[in-house]
Amino acid sequence: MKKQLIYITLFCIGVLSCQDLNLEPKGILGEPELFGNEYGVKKYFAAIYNSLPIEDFLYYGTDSDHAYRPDNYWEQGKKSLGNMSGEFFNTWVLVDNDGFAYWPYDRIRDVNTFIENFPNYRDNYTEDVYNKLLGEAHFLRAFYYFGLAKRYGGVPLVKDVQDPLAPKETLEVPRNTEYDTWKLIYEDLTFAIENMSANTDETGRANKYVAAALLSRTMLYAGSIAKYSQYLGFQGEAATSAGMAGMDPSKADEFFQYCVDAGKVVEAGPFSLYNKDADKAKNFADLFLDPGSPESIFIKDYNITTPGNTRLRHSYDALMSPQPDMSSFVGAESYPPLDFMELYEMPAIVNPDGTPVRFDNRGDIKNDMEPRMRGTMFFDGDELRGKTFSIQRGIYKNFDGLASDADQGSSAAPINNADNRILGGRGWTTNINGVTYNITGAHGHFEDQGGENNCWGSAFIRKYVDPSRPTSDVREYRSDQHWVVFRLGEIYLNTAEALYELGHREEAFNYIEMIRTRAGSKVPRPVIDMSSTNIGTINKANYPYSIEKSLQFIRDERERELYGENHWWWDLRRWRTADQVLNQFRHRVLSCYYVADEGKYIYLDEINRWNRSWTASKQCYYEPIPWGEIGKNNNLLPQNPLY
Amino acid sequence: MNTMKNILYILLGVMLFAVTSCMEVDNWEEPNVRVHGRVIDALTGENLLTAQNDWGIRIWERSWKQSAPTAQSLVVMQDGSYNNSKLFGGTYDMLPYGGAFWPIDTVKNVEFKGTTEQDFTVTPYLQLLGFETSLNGLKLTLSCQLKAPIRDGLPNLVEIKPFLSLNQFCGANNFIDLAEYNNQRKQINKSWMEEVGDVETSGIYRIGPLAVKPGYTYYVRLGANVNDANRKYNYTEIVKIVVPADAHNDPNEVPDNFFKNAQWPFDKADWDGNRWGNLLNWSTNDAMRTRDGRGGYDGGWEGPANDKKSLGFERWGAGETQIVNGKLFQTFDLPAGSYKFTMSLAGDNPIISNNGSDPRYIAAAVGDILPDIADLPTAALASTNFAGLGNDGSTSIEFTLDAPKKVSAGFVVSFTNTEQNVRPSWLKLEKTD
Repeated sequence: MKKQLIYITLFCIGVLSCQDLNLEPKGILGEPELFGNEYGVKKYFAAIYNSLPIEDFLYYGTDSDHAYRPDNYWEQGKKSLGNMSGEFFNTWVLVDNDGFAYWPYDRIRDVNTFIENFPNYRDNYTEDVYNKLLGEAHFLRAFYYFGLAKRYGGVPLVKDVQDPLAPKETLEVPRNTEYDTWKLIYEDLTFAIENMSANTDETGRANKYVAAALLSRTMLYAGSIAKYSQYLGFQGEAATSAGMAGMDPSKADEFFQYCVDAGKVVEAGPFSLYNKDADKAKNFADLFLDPGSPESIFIKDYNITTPGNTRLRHSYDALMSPQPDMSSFVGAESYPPLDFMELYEMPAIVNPDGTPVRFDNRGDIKNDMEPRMRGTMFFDGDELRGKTFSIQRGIYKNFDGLASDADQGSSAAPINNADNRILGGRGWTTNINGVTYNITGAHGHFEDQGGENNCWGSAFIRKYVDPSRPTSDVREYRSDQHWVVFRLGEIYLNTAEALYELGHREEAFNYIEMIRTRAGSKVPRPVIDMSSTNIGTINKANYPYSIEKSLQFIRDERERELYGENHWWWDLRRWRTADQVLNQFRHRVLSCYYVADEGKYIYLDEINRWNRSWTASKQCYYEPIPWGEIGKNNNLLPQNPLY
Repeated sequence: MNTMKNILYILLGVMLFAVTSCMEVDNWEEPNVRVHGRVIDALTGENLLTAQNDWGIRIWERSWKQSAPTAQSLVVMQDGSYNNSKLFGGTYDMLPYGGAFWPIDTVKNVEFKGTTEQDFTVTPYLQLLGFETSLNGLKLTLSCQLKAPIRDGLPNLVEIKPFLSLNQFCGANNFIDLAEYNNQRKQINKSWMEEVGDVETSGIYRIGPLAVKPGYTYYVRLGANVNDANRKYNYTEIVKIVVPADAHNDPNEVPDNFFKNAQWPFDKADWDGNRWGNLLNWSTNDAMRTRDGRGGYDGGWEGPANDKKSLGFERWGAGETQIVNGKLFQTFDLPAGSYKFTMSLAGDNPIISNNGSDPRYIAAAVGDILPDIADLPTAALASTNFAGLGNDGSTSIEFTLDAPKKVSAGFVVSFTNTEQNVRPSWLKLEKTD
């Protein structure tokens, strides 16, 4: 017993005495190694790039633990920004108004450290390389401030490296105005454009065109925030009267002009709209997958062969296509609602006399559909990974009536009584007059199941889905297609919107025409309509202001082109229309039925059967400054409006 | 073995000590101050009509000086009162915030001690007056008027919305969330001046009919809001609606207007994609369909992006087909009684017109089509030529049926000259007796 106590004591001494070791660590790179040569800087920047607020396959803004997690979490497909904001129908998440306390000042400090100390190593570099790297640092800092500005408005503008031992007053940096915050982004990016090189060889790393692309997007945001914040009714709110949440409308044109100018810089670069395939639908789908796409300005790369962990892999394919036929993991989670399909040119589903159009095949819905829409969504009859999509909700024994008789799918409608409209689960059959029919398609819609692998509506997402991956390999952390952070298509749309806001209508539509020509739209250049409306397209939203109909068209064009690319939520916010577009936005779904006595198919406009609706409050326009940060620094007050 | 056991006991003892030693009792007294009160509508003197947990009273603890206190919020209940009995004593600032009323000043330095009562008086943005409900079979209609006590600086009106609930809590946080109710809200998004005019009280807004279920008890109210920062609703009082178990819609119910799709903006069934089309719910004869087989719908001359959504037909240029006995009408199964058919040019149609002097009749006749103009005096129940009627005018005809009959009503026109057209604002066929 005694002996054992002695051993224990000795052991404890042995362990604890290690605390005193004080060796110079040999494996850690210090500032001279990192800042003194180009490879060191690259390594230093890599960590900063890794945390950039890029909302890609990994992002979901409902959860602070996972939002910009540099590795990733498979659940993203369930909780994506598209699902959260109502761009996709899903049965898991609804609108999140108040964000997740994003506060990347640690990374900003990394950049500031570089900007402050890099001049000490100036002699190690040629002037070009030195300027390029310093420009890159400004680009990186602007990107982080963009992540802050679009969430909080005005934030503390920390441009120096703070000394942790400095007096408290200098450490407690107050918020700047929203105008100054966007202007810092402008200044940093202008510096970046002036100093970075035009060399675009290194994918995944910024150059002057990438900086210009970021400038184009940020200045468009700033312009619309300046122009439309006046309609929020926030005038009496402390943060707004202090200029931290909202800007004066007189500033709008300044920012819109910056956006247009930035677009011109990008256009001077070696980019072009992707146009490699004569099949415009396939061409549109390929533009996101082709690593050599001349449309991509900046991509975030993934690589399945990276050893170790899942850091450079994602699970997009496994959560966008139905399991088991096209995915070997949980499978599809997100579906395009009819509300968004209607933005595109698609065949009528109702005849002039009010009866549903009869189709010989379910896939005939694709006839006469805008190619870009087919490149964005998969419909019945499309093939993926050797299987064919098969989507049907049910069977009508007969449908002798108007489409409106089906009352958007209500089971209370007489024509939908259970004897006439047959619904069912996966693999169920029914017998009508001696003939056995499958009630549903192989991929939905199954009445007895929830959201997974159960097509709500008549389409799956095609955009970004990689068809070359065999189904057996479509699993969690097995996808590695890149994310296109900036592409020329977006820049054209940014420029078009800014030009239109500045009153250059025809010039704006030059860009719209290029986008629509590539998309395969029937009317590449619609006539400009300057009459105004305050009714939006999606959910017939009742805006608090009126805009010219052609400007609404440009906004709709943006959504047609950028659907599912995580722009929609931010667009609704900067247009200050989120609380009206997402005002009990109850997704409608396109449902296909077989009409048994005719041997034909019909498509009906229905309300999703779970009666889900998406609602954003006015709180969504500014997320609250994280309360924990206010606890540390009272100068962050006033808090943003409504919190 | 014995040693082993001893070690186990020692370890157990250490663990027990380790665990129990954490149980230090918090010596801070539990919060025991009760603060309660009412939020009073300055205009009625009664508690403000509001919804449960829709907004709150912000309080800041001012006894704490070391840093800026963050606000807590005391929930305001549906009856306009609030009550919280678990607060720490101290000196607080209080501010009712976020409700549908004009902002008021913070009440400073309220001493929270024992039981503290603090009332607030606010002026609502809107009052919803004269709330009436009418249940007709399984159709519920709600109506009210809006009054704006302060119009100067009033943010734009946003909407008027019905709220139905199956329990006594009814408002924006507790309502039956169905598209068929939600779609009945009236969206306004205009200033008071544009929507109501330079008066304090609006006309009557009717919302409905809303389909209800037999045997159910509903609690219903209307809410209206303005585009302030919070956009909360002002409400009517809540009315309990008991739908009898045997309630049903009367199959012989007489609608206010037998015509469907009878008011601008008109719905089209289809069109040429630019201007001319067919109207939803209306029938035409061949003579009326002079525009590539279509007629009756006029989208105006500004193309698809600025569709004027009008009922309209015309012969304008000399090269256009003449309309001879062109007919545009609807057919109804009418019960016996007296009827009035009104056609109004006056109204909201942005392209009202009644150009030219060629014969143009509104008419009603038994059967599923209208007679030709020459036969109107003998074959129609009633008819009148409205050529020359001004854009601010309307015309009507009346007729009586002694037995239920199938009746058609609408236009019969012959446009053989040029520059002839008709674009009214609305039509109505009502049963007067």
